[in-house]
Amino acid sequence: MKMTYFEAIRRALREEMAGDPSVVVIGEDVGAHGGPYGTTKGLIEEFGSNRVIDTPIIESALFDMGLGMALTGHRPMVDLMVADFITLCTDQVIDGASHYPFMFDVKVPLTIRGPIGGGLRFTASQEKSLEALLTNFPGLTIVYPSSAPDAYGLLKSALRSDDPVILFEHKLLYFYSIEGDIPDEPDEGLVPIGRAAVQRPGTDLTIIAWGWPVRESVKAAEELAETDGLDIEVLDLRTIRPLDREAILESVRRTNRAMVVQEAPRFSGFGAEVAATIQEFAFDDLDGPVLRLGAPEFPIAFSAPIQDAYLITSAKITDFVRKNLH
Amino acid sequence: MAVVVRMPKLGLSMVEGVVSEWLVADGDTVSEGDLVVGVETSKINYQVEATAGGTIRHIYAQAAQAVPVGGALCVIGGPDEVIDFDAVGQNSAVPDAALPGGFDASTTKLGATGAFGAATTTVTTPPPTAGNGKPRRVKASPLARKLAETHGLDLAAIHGSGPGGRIEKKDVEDARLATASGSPAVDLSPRSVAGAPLGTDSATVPLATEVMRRHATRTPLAGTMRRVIADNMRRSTQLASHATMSLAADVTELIALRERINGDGHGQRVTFTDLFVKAVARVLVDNPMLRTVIDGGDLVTLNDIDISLAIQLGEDGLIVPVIRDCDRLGLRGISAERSRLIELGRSGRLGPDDLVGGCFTLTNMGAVYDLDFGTPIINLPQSAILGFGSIQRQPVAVGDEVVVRPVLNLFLGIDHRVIDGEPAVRFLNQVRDVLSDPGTGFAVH
Amino acid sequence: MARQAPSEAFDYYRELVLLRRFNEIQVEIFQAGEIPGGLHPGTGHEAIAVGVAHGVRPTDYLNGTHRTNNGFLLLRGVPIRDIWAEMLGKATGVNRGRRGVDLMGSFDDRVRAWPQNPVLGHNAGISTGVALSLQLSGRDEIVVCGMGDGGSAAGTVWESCFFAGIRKLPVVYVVENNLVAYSTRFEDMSPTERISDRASAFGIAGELVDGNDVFAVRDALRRAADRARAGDGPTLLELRTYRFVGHFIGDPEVYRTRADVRAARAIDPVPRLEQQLRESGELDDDAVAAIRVDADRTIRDGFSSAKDDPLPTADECLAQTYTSGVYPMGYSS
Repeated sequence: MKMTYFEAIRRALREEMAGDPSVVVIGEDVGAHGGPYGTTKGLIEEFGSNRVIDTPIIESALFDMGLGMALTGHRPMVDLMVADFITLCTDQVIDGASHYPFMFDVKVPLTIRGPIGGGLRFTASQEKSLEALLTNFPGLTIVYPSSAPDAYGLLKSALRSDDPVILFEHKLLYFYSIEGDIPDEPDEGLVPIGRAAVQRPGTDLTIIAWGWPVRESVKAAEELAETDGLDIEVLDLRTIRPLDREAILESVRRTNRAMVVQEAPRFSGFGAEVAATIQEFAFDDLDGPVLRLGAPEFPIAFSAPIQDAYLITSAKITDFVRKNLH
Repeated sequence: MAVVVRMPKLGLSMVEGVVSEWLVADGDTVSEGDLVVGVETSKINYQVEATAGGTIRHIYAQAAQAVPVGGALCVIGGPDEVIDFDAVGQNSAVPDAALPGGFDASTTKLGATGAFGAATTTVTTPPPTAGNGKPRRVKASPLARKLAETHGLDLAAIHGSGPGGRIEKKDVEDARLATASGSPAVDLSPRSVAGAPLGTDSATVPLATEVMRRHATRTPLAGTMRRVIADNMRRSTQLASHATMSLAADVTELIALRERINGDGHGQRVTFTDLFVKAVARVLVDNPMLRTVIDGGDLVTLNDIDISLAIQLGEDGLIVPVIRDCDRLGLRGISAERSRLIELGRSGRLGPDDLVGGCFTLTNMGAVYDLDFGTPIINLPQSAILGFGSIQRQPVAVGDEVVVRPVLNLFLGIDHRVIDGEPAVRFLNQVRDVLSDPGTGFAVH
Repeated sequence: MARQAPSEAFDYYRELVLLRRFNEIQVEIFQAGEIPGGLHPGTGHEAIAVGVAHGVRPTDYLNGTHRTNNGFLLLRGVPIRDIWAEMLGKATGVNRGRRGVDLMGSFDDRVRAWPQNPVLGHNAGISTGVALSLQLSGRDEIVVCGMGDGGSAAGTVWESCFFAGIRKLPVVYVVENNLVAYSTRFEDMSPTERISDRASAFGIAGELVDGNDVFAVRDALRRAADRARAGDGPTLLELRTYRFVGHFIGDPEVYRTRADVRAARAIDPVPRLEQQLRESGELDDDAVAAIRVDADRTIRDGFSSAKDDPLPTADECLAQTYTSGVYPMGYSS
């Protein structure tokens, strides 16, 4: 069934809530309003205010509460209104959620969702790409679907996981109502955590991306195939942590060249981890350095030219490929 | 700090070298990079440079003395520095990975040139070194290193087309193709085109992408004739040691001969190109070195006088089909074969049999426009190519008088690895003689 | 001396002595160099540990502080050797040697003495989440959330009270106010004379209690727990006490004099209950000595039993970062 990105998320939530009474949605404006992107719309009518729980603006307590609930028999989905607010509850996620399974031998079935990334002119406080921020903490799982079927399948997998999972959803995927085919049966569309997917096969270069830049990368690859005779493979990580190292290495060993495309600033972004992984484990298969394309060194900002300079587009990717691949 | 200059390893098989000549003496002051000593092996002469600046404090090996690879030649140090010459001069094997680059492949091949009586080649270019006197690292991608090792190729002999001269996968593959037995280097068949690695030198020249988008027309190279040409040209300039020489021919008689032949009004008109082919064929019979090709580690002298002829096909590019047995064909036979090949080329029906096996290439570069001189690129694996300028009326000395005569310039490109200078010049003179004085040697049929 | 079955007070006294001696012997062993890391004993907080434990049901959740965690574990039946083992970083410790000296806890449903989250304020959020879960599930347990006077300043605490006030969650916020946060005196760093007064801002009950009176503590907890179970919402209890040792062992204690500490001994909960029991005839010198000897033996036997336990190895850890085990893709390496 064709569905948009946000419909896919809503459907995954609804199905998991219907299938498991311990699943609850909690956050700011998730109830009657249905969240700023409509991903929880209608859930409160269907499941009531004890399953879809509105809170005041209390991010600091909210994410501790999510942990407390997860430790007391619930499977809470805590809604970050925008992913940027993760910085308000970073310690809750690190010192609490990510540590407790290891420290105390407990399950923490906690899912955190947040719209991430730029493109809607909300400026830096609400448009950062901070997926790399929490990748250095063992115990956390971070997923970042770039399509409706992956959003559906990964959210369901997250809600069924006994570990804390953070799910980032790029705002442009809502904004452009990106559609995809989702199986009719509730249990058919699960996407395993920790598995990357080839979104476009190719032989000359592997572009590794996640989130919205995956779509721009595929577009750029199609253009370069036509204009430059280049056959580029686009690998969508889908899960940031744990990283699907094997999928990356398998692809790079075939194409011998790798390039990371990320929306976040290049410096110390997650692309650095990907690049390090490739040089460490596929050194002898590389025919050139691992390239990284990312945002410039300033915060994403409001005015169109500034925002345009910041964001990844297929044109920037094709330029970058042409400049670096001869 | 004393630095010992040691016998370099100049080829994979080299175990020792002989000091041929000292260019400095004990006590001389040298700068880093100065040539200090000549050494020779069975294959090459080579001049070793100072790996540091300072005073030559001790010379270990005199002229004509053999020194193992890594053995001490001299020590450079401060003028008053206390140096234990015996201790610092201990032999040190140079690890293979730290070889100075640039020689192995050529010396390996040069070994075979001994058959022609040219045992040594003088190499005056010092090995690439870094500022610290260590051999400079050959820049190659990790994959290129692995591939080169797998195929037994020496990276130092491979041209790097990547950024900063980095050797990449395609460079190694090109080198492998060029040196492989049964070399497909001149295989123009569509099959080999489709499977060829992407990218050529022309595509490595960086162009501002903005300019490329707005002021340029982009045509994919893959799978085109241009791609084949590009690869072949690059391979040739990379691998062969090109030398070009020229000579002018007074073709008064040749023009008269052609008019006589065509004057009978029968059959196909004979072109100057046909005459050139026939003239070259006659001379090639007695010059085996000019029809010798490199095949892997061997030199192969081709005994059939099959001549490759470069033919421009409009904007599409260049084809180089082969006219077989030119020594036995008459002028009309050559002319007919040439026409047939052009026709096949225009209709894209040339097969591999029409394209491979030539022993020598002829290119009539002045056929359409005026041309004085050119440097034709050798058609590998052949070792020589003869270019022809346009026939132009020029003042020439006839006896003691200056008269105006139709003159044609010949320019011969040779691979100096295979063909020495003198035989090449002799060949050129003989061709000139036949063209200037065609006599009756040009059978029409 | 011949006695009837021991009274509640007698039992509480024995527990107070056990916890006090545990705190004191920890210092002794720490100073002997046997306990790694830092030690933050709850010497002076024993009446809170005992009073809270007896003020709620054994099935209620206790989310203690670093001053009371170990006491709660002991009072909820965790063998003292397991607590020692954790303090010594042993594989046999309460948390397999991963959590250490005074931040350990047990999520076992037979214990429910959860660890202090060491970043102050988070205990409140976590406990509030527990309370929300309990309420949503219609369960009649409650949760006690511990914090110090210092930690009570954290924003998370007041966000928690805010939300718990809205949903009338079954939680009791217990502030163990020992009048000094690390080196910061409460009198210098509180806008209100009483922390409990801040409850009114959130529409929840607040109460100031003598934290050195085990009965006062117990009864305050009972009142708050009753309110919570009745659906009347959370209570903010401020339990005034005194810490007789530094923030950590080795603290130069620049914020007070030895005379201050000596003066505070007048309100020490242990001699205070002892005096009551002597007055009521339930205790005499011999009984006091016997209780102490008994406590010391229990504590030292526990230590002896644990001190040679094996240390954990890091090998098993990689498989325990995620509850679902080692991820595929060799992520552990």
